Amino acid sequence: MYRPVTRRTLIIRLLWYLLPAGLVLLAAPCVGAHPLGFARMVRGLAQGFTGVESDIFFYQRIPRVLLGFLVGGTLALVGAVFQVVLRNPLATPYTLGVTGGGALGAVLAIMVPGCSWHAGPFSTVQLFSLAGSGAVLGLLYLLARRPRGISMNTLLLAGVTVGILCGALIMLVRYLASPHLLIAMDHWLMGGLDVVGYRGLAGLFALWLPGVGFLLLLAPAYNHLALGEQLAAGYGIDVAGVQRLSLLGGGLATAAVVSLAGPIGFVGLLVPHAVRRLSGLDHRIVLPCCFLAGGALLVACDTLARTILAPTEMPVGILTAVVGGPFFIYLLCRQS
Amino acid sequence: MLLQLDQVTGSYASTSWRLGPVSFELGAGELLGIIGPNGAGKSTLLQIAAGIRRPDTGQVRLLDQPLSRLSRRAIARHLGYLPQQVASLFDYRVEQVVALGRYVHLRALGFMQPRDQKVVESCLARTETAAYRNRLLSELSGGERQRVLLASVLAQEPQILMLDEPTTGLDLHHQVRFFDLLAEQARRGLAVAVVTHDLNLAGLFCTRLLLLQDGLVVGQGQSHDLLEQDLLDRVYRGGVCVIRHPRFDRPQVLPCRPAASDGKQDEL
Repeated sequence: MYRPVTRRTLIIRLLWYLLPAGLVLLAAPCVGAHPLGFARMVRGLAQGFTGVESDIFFYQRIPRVLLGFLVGGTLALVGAVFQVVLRNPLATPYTLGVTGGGALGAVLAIMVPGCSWHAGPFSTVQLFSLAGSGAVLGLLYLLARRPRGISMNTLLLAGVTVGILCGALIMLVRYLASPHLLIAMDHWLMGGLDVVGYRGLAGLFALWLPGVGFLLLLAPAYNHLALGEQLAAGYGIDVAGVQRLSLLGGGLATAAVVSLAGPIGFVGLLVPHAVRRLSGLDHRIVLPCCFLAGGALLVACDTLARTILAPTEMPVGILTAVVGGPFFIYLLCRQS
Repeated sequence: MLLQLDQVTGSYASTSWRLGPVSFELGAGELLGIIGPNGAGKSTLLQIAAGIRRPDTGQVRLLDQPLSRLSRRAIARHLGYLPQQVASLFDYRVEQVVALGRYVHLRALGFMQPRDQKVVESCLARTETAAYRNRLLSELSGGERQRVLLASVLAQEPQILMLDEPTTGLDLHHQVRFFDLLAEQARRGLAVAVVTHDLNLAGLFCTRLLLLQDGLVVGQGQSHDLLEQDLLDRVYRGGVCVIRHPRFDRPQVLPCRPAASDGKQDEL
């Protein structure tokens, strides 16, 4: 049965997701190769941590959990938006090849000798990755723009093609790179959340905030856009404007998180579908819930990734695919 | 007049085909049928009139304001448009689809107020779709689905309603019911323009017809003037036979075998 979305229902649905997400956020910093425990964490927060524990808690665990939450939430949110705007249930933040551009930039930064400096909060890898993503985004816009909007078919096909092209160029860079750099490249390409301190997070925020802000503001329009461009225009939606802002907002947010965490698969595909099944099809609910669920899922996966093989760590991208893949197949089987 | 098209032309980048120049007006209480053979420019004309597509030249005026100066949201407050094909990405429930029509009257996050809910209820009732308000779009028949989409467009509370082939694929009963529903909206004071290939329904229900051929208006007026044997023979290149409706004083159009094949068909 359909019930119109009100402020109250929106808050209640958000609380459903906020509670488990909050629990994950509280538990994750306590868990790791050096267990802190919840009681010790509370005591430490109240009375001050000892030297090593303070470093672990404030400079490793908290930034890592925050980054995981932002990355997972953003990937899920952008995935949900791209699925509607591109009218393709298989669309993810990576469908448009923005990630490919970012990855190409990152491996180039790793390959170029002496290219290891910081500009404000940005590392060279992050800057090159952002430049790569930005170049791909600009190229896609030029290819797909039409006098009255954007051709979504061209955007989708061009995005996939650019992604494949970037993949080929990454292989070329890897082929030409000296063997000792391959480890660093592979590590970045597998995706990970191993940040230290808050500098990277601060840099991420400048691009992430406007990107995610655009998408959340457009949430009501996505409900109409799902019924087709012409009917949406009839309802009063500025379809071309929504498409442009979605591409820009989604591209910016994805570029920002990929530049720091590398490509992490499945969150952007799995979470939107799971949230729509659990909480309906209204994007005013779906988008913020995707952010909370995606963030919680990635933090939980990352916590598992850094504990199951402790003291070594598994790249979180492997775990999201291993957990996400079977769960997605289960959802599909349940539907059929 | 609620809507005025003045010497409007349109074209597509990939072809040399061209619409117009076309001029017509649409007033309250009118049910205008836009008819003509395939490729005549009916849908293009409707899209230009609804502001979905911009004209190459000429002007469209909505309530005496140039349509080009109005935002999509401002247009949708006065004009509801139902396109030829609606393929939903998600399986919405009927009431949710109807509620989507309230978008232009809602604020930023689109929360409905009690008045909006009343309008949704009224539109469900007017289109006789209230009984299956909780069903999914995929569970509806073609006729039910079209009525739900009409209810959604009516929820915009427009003064003008524009529909592109809304009865395609429906059986005779549902076609008649749908056109009856449109005639009722016109009686309530809405200006309705409908693109249709069904000359009989157009002749029976529409208060005025606009006949197009190869992008140009061949004629506009009452069904008696336009559904005329010689004119239709010329526009449709034969294959039509105009008779009188046995119960209503309206012309009706039957398919007719081309003269050259008459003998062969009889032999078969």
